[in-house]
Amino acid sequence: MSPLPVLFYVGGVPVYSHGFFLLFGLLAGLGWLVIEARRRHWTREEVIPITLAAFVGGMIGAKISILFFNGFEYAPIVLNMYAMFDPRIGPGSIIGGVAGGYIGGYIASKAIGKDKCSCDAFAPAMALATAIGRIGCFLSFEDGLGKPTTLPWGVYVPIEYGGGYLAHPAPLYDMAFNLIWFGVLLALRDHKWMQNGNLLKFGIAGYAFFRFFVEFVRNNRELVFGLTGQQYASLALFLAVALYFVVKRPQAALSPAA
Amino acid sequence: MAEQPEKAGPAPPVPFTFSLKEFLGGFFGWFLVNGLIWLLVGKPSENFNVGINLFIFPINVLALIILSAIKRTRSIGLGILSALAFNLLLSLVLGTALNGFCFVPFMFPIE
Repeated sequence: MSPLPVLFYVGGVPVYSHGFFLLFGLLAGLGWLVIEARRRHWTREEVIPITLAAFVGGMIGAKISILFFNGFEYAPIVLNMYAMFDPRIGPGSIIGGVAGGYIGGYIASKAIGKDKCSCDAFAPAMALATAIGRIGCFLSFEDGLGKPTTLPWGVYVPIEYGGGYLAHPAPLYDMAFNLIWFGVLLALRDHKWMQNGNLLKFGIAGYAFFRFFVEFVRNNRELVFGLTGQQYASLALFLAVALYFVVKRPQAALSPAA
Repeated sequence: MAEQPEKAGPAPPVPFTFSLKEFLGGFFGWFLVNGLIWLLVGKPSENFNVGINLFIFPINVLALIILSAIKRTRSIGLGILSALAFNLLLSLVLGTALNGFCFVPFMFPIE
């Protein structure tokens, strides 16, 4: 299969695969969020500020995390607030986006005086958005797709994309996981233990767990002990959520639905 | 029998009433303030200055959080948040035609 960085042209203007599916994924995630919010009887006064804050937090987190994953030589771009709005640069790392989105939504819910977490609706929406967004990553052969492989489903990466070999289609692994995870989160969304923010934390932990292992077949920069920055971030997220569930388990089990 | 004076209780909570005027003030005010900063400090997007840029972002975030947390100014905070979200969404929409990767500075350039 050949890379397809440009999906189609509109009046001579290219529409890039990566940007298109990123936007499509975000809109699909937003649409699912609206469905879930209505189902959970969220009020507009909660949904709007929390969603906006999660979006802004996610975009900021995605950019700032580049600093840790790829080095401080990108500080002139990452730390420059106005460069954050430069459409030529791109969004950044999704694992940073997940963390930033959670923090943004959390701050917003506290700022509006919400004592319980109205955030579980974000969990399946996040998985759906990520699954769709990864299609664009695959079509654009981002990161050279993945490390070399001899597996039968390896995809040939052209030399001009830093390849010349068969590579793991890492974005497709991510997409497949997130589609499955979307189904899992939907199945669990009404479970008594998956309320009051637990479903979102569980969703984040699940993705972090998967991301730690898929990083072994990706081409991201290794930092220390052969692990990438994304792996350290995934480990930190997973451990933070695991610790939360261990400490709060009796309360989490008894907490009423949000 | 003399009446006992009523004890002063806590002040009633200030209800949040959305104000369109304040929301628009926050929304356009963000563009005005940051536009001035962008012009006065020599367009930080072109001439990067670590010191100045380390302040601009935290100040924006702090102002947003404080204004959103105080009920009387929450509409302004919502306006600022909306301005940020609008800008970021616009960058994503324009990005579909301007960039082909996740983060251009370290990705392979699109021809």
